[in-house]
Amino acid sequence: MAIKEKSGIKKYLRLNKFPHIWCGGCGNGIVLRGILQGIDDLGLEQNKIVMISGIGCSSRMPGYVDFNTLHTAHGRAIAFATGVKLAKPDLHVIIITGDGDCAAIGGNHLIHAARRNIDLTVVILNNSIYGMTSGQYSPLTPYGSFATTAPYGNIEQSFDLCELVSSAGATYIARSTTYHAMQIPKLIAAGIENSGFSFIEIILHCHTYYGRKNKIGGPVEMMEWQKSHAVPISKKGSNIDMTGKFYIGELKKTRSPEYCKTYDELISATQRRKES
Amino acid sequence: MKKEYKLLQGNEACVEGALMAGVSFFGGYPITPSTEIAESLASRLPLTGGKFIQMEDEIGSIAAVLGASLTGAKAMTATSGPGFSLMQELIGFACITEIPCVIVNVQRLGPSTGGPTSPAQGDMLQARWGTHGDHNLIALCPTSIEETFYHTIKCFNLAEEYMVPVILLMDEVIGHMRERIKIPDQKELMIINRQQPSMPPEEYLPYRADERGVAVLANFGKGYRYHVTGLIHDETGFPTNDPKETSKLIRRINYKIENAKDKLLDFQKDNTEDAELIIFAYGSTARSALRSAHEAREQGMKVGTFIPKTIWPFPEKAIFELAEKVKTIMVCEMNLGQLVYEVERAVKGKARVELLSKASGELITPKDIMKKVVEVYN
Amino acid sequence: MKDLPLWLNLKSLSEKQKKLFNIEINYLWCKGCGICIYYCPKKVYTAGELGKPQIMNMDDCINCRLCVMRCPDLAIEVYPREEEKL
Repeated sequence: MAIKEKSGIKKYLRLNKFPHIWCGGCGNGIVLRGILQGIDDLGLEQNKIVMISGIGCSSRMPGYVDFNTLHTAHGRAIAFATGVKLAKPDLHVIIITGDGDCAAIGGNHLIHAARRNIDLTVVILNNSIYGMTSGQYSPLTPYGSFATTAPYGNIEQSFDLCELVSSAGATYIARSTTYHAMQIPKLIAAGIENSGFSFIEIILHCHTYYGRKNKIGGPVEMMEWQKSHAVPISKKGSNIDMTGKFYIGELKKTRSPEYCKTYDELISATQRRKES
Repeated sequence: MKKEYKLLQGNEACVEGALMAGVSFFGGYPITPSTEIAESLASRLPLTGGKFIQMEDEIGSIAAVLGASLTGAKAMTATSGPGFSLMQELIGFACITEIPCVIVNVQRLGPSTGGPTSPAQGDMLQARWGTHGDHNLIALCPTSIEETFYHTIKCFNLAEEYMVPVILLMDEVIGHMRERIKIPDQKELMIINRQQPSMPPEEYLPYRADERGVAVLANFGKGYRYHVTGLIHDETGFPTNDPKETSKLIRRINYKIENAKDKLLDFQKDNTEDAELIIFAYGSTARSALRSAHEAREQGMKVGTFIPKTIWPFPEKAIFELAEKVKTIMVCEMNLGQLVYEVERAVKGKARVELLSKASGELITPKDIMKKVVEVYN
Repeated sequence: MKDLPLWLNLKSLSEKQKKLFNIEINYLWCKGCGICIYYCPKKVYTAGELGKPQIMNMDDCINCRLCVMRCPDLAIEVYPREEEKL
C-alpha cells in the first residue's frame, strides 16, 4: 500500500510539465491530487479516461495529467464531454471547470447535462472569483464581497450550484473543500462510479485575488475559513446556525436512467424492429 | 448493381449523403430551414448504430460534434444563420485543434432572425471569416439536390482528409426544393477515413504534421494519450508562447488548405470559350443563371456561366483566366454583394465586374438575370 | 526490541514498535506556500529559505498524509521507511 502510494499518482502526471502554472498555495493543486487519488483508488485504465476542461485557472488541469485530455473553449467543457461520452460510452469522462466557466458562461450546458443524467463526472473548483483574468466577480461570489469588477462590493446574489443541478436531475452530488482534502478522493471515486451525472463542488481558496481583495489572508487563513464554515451533511437537522455556512459530504445519491445506456437500448430496439 | 431513384428535398439528400459517407454522430438544435436534417437523422442514425442528440443550443451542438469527432466518429451538425453565428467561436477551435467535422448551413435571410423561411446567400463571407484570428477552412455550395447529396459526401471526405471543419453552404431553396436523384451503391463511392498514427504511443506527436501539413490525431481511447487545446500549441499539442512555434502553427493550419487548392477547387464552366459576358452564380442562383445564359445565347448574346462549387478556397485563378478573355463578369447573389468582392479581387481589373443582388427573401429568377444581362452586355 | 537501533529505543514513545516514515520534498515543484508547515500535527516542518519547508523531525512523522494531500504543488511524498529498502 505504502509503496504503491509513493508512485501511486505519479504515473498519472505529465512530469515534464511541472512545476505547474498555478500560484504558490493555490487550491487547484490540492484538488488535482485528490482527483488523481480517487482515480487511483478505483484503478481505472489511463487510456479510458478523458479529462475535459473549459477556460480558467482550474481548466489548465488537463495539461498536467496523462490521460486523453481536452482543453476546450470557455464554458463548453460539458458540451464537448457530452459528445465524447455519447460517441464512446466506455470512456470515463471527467470535467474540470471553475465557477465562472461552469456557472456563468457554461450554465446552460450544466443544466442540460444534469437533466439528461449523462454519465459525466463534473468537478467544479469554486474559488468565488475569476482568477485567470485577475479577480472579477463570478455568479458564485458572495453578496458584498469585493472583486476588481465589484469595487464597492458585489451587489449580485450568488446561488447554490449543487441545488441547481439537483433540481435539474443530477444523480450524485457532493461538496468538499481544500481544507477537507482527505475527503476529496472518496467523493471523486463515488462520482466516477455513479452511472449518471455526478457533480462534485470543491470550495477552494484563491488567496491571490479573492483572499487579497477581501482581506482574508493567505492560503492557510482561507483554509481555516473553510474549516469554520463547512458543516458535515450528517449534521443536517441539528440546531446549527447555517448562516453563511455550507454542507459538505455526499449531498445526494439517487438513481435514474442514464442517457447513453438508454440510447443504446433505443438502438437495439430500433434495429430489432427493422429486422422484424 | 442496385440503382435507387428517390424524390428528395435538399435537406433529405444531405442526410442520404451523410449516411453514405458514414456519419455516426449528429448534434444539433432545431432551426428553420435546416430542421429536416435533424429530424431525419434522429430517426435514421439509431438504425445504423449512430448517435443523435438534440443539444441545448448551437454552441453546445458544435461542441458535442467536436467531442464526438475526437473519438473517431464522423460527426456533423446542421443549422441556419443565427445558429451558424453562435457556432463561430468553436469553428475556430476546430480549425486550430484540427478536429474534422461537417457543418451544414441552410442559409436564410438575415441579419438576426430575419426571414426564417426565406432564401438568402448572406453567410458566404461569414463562413470564411466568421471566427476570429487567421484560420482557413473549406466550404462547398451545391446547386441541386443531387449535388447536395454528393457534396455532403465530399464534405466528410475533405474534413477527414484535411482535418478541418468543412461547411456545406446550402440555401433555403436548395434545402426545401424536391428533385429526383439516383442514389448510388456505396461501393461506387470514394469514402475517405482520417489517418491514424502507425508509430508506438511513446513516439507519437499529435501535431507533427504530415507532408501536406495535416495533423494526425489518434482517436481518443486508443492508447495514444495526448493533449488537445485551443491555445497555441507546438507539435506535442501542449501550449507554447514561442513566437517561432506560434507562427509555424498559424501558417500550417492556413497553408494546408491553401496548398491543396488545386485539388480542392471544383467549378463548372458553361459556354465560356467565346463568351463576352460571364454570369458568376452559385447555389440556387446558379440554376437561374444557366437558364438565362441559354436564353441570352438564343438572342445572340455571347453569354457563359461560371459556377463555383467550392466557395472556400476561392477559385481566383480560374476567374482571372476568364477575365482576360471576357468583357464583363456579372455576379448574381442573394445578398447585397459578398462574393463580388472576391471576384473583383480575382479579376485584377482585367474585366468589368457587375453585380445583380437581391436581398428581399425571394430567389433570383432567370427574368431578373436576363434584364441585367441586357443592361450590361454592351 | 533488541533489533531496533539504540536511538529509536531511547526515543520510543510507546511500548509498541514505532513506525518510521520517510518524507521527500520536491523542491523544484514546491512554491513555499507554508500549508504543510502550518497543518503538520507533529510539527515536522519548519520554514526554511523562501518559506519552503525544512524537515526537522522526520522521525515524528505519523503518516497522517495531511501534508501530502494538502500540498498544492504535489511536492510531498511520505512512505514507510522500512519498505523503502524492499
